[in-house]
Amino acid sequence: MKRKHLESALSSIQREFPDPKITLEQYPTSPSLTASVILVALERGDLGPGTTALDLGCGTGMLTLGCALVETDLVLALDCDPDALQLAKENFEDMELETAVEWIHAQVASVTSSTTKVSNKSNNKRRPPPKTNTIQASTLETRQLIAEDEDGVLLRSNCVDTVLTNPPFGTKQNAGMDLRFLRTACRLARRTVYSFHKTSTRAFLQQQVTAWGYSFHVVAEMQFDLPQVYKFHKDKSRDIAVDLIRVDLTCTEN
Amino acid sequence: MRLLTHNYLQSNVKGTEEGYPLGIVPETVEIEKSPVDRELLLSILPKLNYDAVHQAVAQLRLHCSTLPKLPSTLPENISNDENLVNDLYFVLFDVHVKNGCLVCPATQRKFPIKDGIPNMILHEDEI
Repeated sequence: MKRKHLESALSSIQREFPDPKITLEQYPTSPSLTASVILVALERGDLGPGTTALDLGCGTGMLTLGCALVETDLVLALDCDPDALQLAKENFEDMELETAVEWIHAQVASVTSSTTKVSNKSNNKRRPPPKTNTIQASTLETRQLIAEDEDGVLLRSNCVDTVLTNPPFGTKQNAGMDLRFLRTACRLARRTVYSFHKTSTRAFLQQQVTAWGYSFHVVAEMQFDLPQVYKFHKDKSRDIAVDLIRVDLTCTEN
Repeated sequence: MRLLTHNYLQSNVKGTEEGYPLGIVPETVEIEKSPVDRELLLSILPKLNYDAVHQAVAQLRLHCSTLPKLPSTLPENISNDENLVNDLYFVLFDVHVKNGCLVCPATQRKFPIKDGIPNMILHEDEI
């Protein structure tokens, strides 16, 4: 599928957030950005025929539509806001595509309710310094911990091949929400995760993801023009440097 | 909600297998017939839990007796069985539970389905 065709199809969607909910950080992923992620994933065999995908926090459904446009076998779209889901569903129905797209009303648990659970599970054992032959075992162990996370999303672990997400970056009240999304994404996918995170958090993210037993690489560095999502910001919008990352869940070396 | 989605939904009951599969109590079921895509069906079948498909169809048949009956186990070489391929494609892709609910087998907690969308939001005390 050519980029022009994909971008043009994505630009044709009628429905935007009529009244974006600031606490959920609602803003649509642009057609250009969406096309970029979709085409990179398609090229690597992470999307398209023979694969299943999930859009975590689908909003108006841009990433969902992108997956559908490249004929992914099945696309699951999840959001906690029923208004957004309805909008996304209508956007998809307008396009009259054949791809099976399914909508799920669900919520990634907020950081405050689940942080302690998550960190207790992964940090409460005192480990001896790892020897080379035990690294793989502990990697698998931490990956298994993720599979058992109670993250509020009532879907089985490893249910889809690829998860795509443009997560909320988190306000002061909900800092670290993007990390929560990423962790849930790693639980739900069996093959790969594509996600966006502030470039300023890259090193911290690498550390966290490594502790989970995975690694990621930065596919592209982008500029997000974020609408005023923080109450204390005076500007109507601001440019933020953002990484598009790809986590390879099939990679056995850390 | 298609049975494809139902296949992946699991109620969170402290890491055990007890929250799966969810029971289905349909109120409105719609059929949207589409041309059988054999390749698509064979591609997605290994990614599904067949027992859950079988159970779901059996439950839906109580509401909608025209749905095909599925074998309790999948035969070795499904690709040779055109009728089964067609039936499986049909129940997975063409059957939509528009309204009703899903039921946790362990706690009996109900998850409503409205306009084809299951509501899986947990309450504060359930997380």
